[in-house]
Amino acid sequence: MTFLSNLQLFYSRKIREALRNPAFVMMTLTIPLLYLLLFAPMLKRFTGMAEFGSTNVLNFFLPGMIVVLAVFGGLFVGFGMIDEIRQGVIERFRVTPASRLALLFGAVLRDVTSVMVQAIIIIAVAIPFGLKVNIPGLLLIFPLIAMLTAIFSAFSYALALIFKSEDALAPITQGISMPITLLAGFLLPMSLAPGWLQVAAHFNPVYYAIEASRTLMSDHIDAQVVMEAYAFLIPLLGLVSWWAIRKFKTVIS
Amino acid sequence: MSQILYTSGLQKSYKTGKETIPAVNGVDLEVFSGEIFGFLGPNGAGKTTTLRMLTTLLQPDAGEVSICSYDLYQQPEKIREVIGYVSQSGGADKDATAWEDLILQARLYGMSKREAAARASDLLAALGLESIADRRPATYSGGQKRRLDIAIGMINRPKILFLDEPTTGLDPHSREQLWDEVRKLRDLGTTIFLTTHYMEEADALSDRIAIMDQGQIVLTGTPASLKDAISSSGTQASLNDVFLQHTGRYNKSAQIA
Ligand SMILES: Nc1ncnc2c1ncn2[C@@H]1O[C@H](COP(=O)(O)OP(=O)(O)OP(=O)(O)O)[C@@H](O)[C@H]1O
Ligand SMILES: [Mg+2]
Repeated sequence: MTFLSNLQLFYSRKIREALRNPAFVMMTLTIPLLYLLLFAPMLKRFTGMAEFGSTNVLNFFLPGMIVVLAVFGGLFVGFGMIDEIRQGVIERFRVTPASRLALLFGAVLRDVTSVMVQAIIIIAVAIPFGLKVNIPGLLLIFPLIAMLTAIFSAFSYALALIFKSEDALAPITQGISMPITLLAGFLLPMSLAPGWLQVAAHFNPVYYAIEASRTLMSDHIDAQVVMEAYAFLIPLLGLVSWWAIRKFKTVIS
Repeated sequence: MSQILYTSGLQKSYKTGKETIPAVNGVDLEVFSGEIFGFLGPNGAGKTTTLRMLTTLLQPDAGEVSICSYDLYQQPEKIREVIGYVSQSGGADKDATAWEDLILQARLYGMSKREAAARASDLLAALGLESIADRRPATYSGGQKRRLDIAIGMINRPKILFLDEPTTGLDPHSREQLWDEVRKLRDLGTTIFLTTHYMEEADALSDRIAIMDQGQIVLTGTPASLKDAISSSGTQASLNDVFLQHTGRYNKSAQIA
């Protein structure tokens, strides 16, 4: 019970903080639109090419964009926490009996919320551009996107606690974001990649999320691919959360 | 007087790369209920490190700690219920108003919404912060910010309140005002454990003092006894003299000789 009430307190705090930051609100709302407006017009030429799905190019590319929103919406949140560590806010909470799990997940859930909002916007705006939606598919995409965001967000917060400096966090997060998105086939399908790259992709959570989201947005849902994604992301979320919470509980020196 | 805090053989070293920095190196302390305990020492002596161990933020390498008869290792969550801590950097949230921040802190200690609101109003009034209740820290003066940090640290009516350099950066008026607040708190029964670099402040406020240097306690006593111990006939030593004589490489008597 303490956990849930603490979670609600920390979540409300983070949401309030986000809503008070006009730049954050603006970017959250416009980034999905920019992705779509700058990218969708280029897709016309790919229509009908087998690699990009038989139905509709937008249905092929949109999942990649949503997944990238999730990766970026999670991976860079640690910077905000470094600021909080410096202000002494995190220590202040850790001196209270408040649940550490709630402290971490209040922030993670805020990040998940903002990515969900972005996903909804991008889908809604893509419909007039020709996106075909199937509701059951979407209902299975959202939990995947939420988990992916949570994985990167918890990971980023833990990194922030370990390194406590932007100078260390910036190269790490940037170094991760590049390969992890490219090696997931967010622009070009991994089926075009040479064998060794395809093998490497199978260790990448982003790859599973994109593959599953793509099939879930297509006419022919491949249940196997969806199962694989859930089977990969659920344990990974558990693992990353466990690791991050250990960092929250033990020393922040 | 009953003992409220006790440490024995407290140790902590930081590992940075290959180097090991022994920050706290066998600290024995005893603090009594209801006193203002001044914890002094030059920069890097290990004061903040000690405070962070006492407030459950940092795991000691060795040593015993008990606060309000709770053991640091066995019952850290009990200790968290009965202490308050205001760190060197404060702790007020820059994105929340004073009111929101106090309510959150109160709710984290399990108070109901109504209790939280009552406690927040009381503290704002007691510390003269009503005027900033609905503003965010960016618009506070240094003294207002510090008083909010302290209000946050004492929201749970702690039995012992740890203040790490509460008056650093404040003008003389704000400092005197804070001293009054600290004394008022002590008179209400709260034990205060504070660090400061201002000797006249330590002298004026503290019932007892410990001086730390290079990770160890070099001196403990009442301000008067410490001064008397080094005063020679005719000249009354100040706490500053005591401090300089017992800490660091600088040694007055050696220089004179
Ligand atoms: N996170 C850390 N990593 C490595 N070394 C540290 C860390 N924090 C403190 N130290 C070192 O430990 C020693 C004690 O530092 P501490 O902050 O406890 O001193 P202090 O007495 O509070 O000093 P000040 O009066 O300047 O606040 C110093 O040598 C400091 O450099
Ligand atoms: Mg210090």
